Amino acid sequence: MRDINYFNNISIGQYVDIESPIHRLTPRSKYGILLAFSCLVLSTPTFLGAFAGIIAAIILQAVSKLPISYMFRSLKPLIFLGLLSLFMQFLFSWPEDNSSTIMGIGQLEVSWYELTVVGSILARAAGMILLFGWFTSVTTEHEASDEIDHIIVAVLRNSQIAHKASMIAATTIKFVPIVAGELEDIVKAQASRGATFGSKSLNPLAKARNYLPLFVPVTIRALERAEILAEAMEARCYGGKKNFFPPSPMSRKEKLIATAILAIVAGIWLIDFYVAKPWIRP
Amino acid sequence: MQETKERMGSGIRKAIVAGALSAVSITLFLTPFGYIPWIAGASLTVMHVPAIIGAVLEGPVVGAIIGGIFGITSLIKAATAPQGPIDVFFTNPLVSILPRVLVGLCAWGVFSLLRKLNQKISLVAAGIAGSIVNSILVLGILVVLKAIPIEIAVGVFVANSLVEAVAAAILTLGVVSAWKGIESRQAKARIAKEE
Repeated sequence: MRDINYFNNISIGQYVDIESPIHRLTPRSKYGILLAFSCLVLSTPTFLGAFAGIIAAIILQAVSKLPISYMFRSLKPLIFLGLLSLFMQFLFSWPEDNSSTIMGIGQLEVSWYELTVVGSILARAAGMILLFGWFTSVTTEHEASDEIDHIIVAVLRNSQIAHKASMIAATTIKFVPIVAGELEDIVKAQASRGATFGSKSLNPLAKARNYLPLFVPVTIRALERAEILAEAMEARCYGGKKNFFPPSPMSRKEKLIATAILAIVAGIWLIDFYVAKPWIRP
Repeated sequence: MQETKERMGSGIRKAIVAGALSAVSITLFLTPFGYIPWIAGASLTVMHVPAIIGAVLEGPVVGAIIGGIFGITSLIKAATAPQGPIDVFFTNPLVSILPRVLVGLCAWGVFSLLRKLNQKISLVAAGIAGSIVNSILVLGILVVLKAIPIEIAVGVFVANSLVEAVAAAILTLGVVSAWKGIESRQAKARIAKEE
């Protein structure tokens, strides 16, 4: 029971309520920024583009007045990934690799090309983690689920399926922090009653049965909440044509900012393609 | 009045239960409790169990939806926080989403087939079936895409998936029995209706 405080390590799903220019943007622009930079990070030909995405995430974090050190805590799992990838590069080689080797012992060697591969894996993963962390810090759950609602309705044209789908998405997003809090409560409660979830026996039946006191209460509580919510909505005659929250209008300044950011992203991609790619070819 | 077939408002209840169980699956995903550690590295994942529970309690559509959401979260995780070389292949929705949707459907199928026999056996069977479908399909598609050779797939299956199936069966049995106990106390015992 080493890591009981999960909320220190999960920086996903925690909205930080500060006043900043970014927080005042409409959820549509926030999703747009996330999407644009995610595409940039994932699809640039070299790792320099992904690196630009990381820098962009840090800049966004600073403009939204969030502490930057907080972000780097979420990058811890990348250390393991980096070491594992490096290890695999020692063992295997790429067919199109004709760069010089840096170091090696006989058959096992690593070359400049493989270093760039590892670099791009790490850069892309770090970029995505930072972007998602930034996004969940500046968007409330209400905004996030609302925007998904609008997207679903726009795609499925205000039909019954659209309403049910948006209900499912909204419920899921709203319930995740609640369920996580209950999970933490139950873990601590069971631990204080002496239940250990890591039993020494290797018998899988025994292990699963030791797991029950954790899994069952969490699921039952979630189902009970769902039951209460469903009854409340049915009692209020929910269903049929739904009036949803109208999308907040984007001010002129915001449209300018959005187009500027799109232009920046496109520019970075093009620079990466035409300038960095021939240069990186070792 | 033709009210025998349509229960008013049942659509919303299914949607909310689907959302709640998907939230449980996502939460298990994000915390260390999604895995029961077993032997040196091979751990049993239990994140598909809410999909099985949803299928048993509310029907095939809900099970399929929860499975789909589990698949989407595993896709997002593979894209944003990969933890190994195999994770790269999970960015393909065919690997991550499709098998998980079928988990819900198959679990419901097995459950409704065996229901008339014995309630507990059908729950256990649904758990085992759902888990095995998950393993076979994910490993199978990875082999078809030439991501891993078939020997490793079979090895992982024998080592991991059978035990995972047993664990899933125990968890399903536990949750559904507890829920039925609670519900019949409130005089509202309902499990998936025959549709």
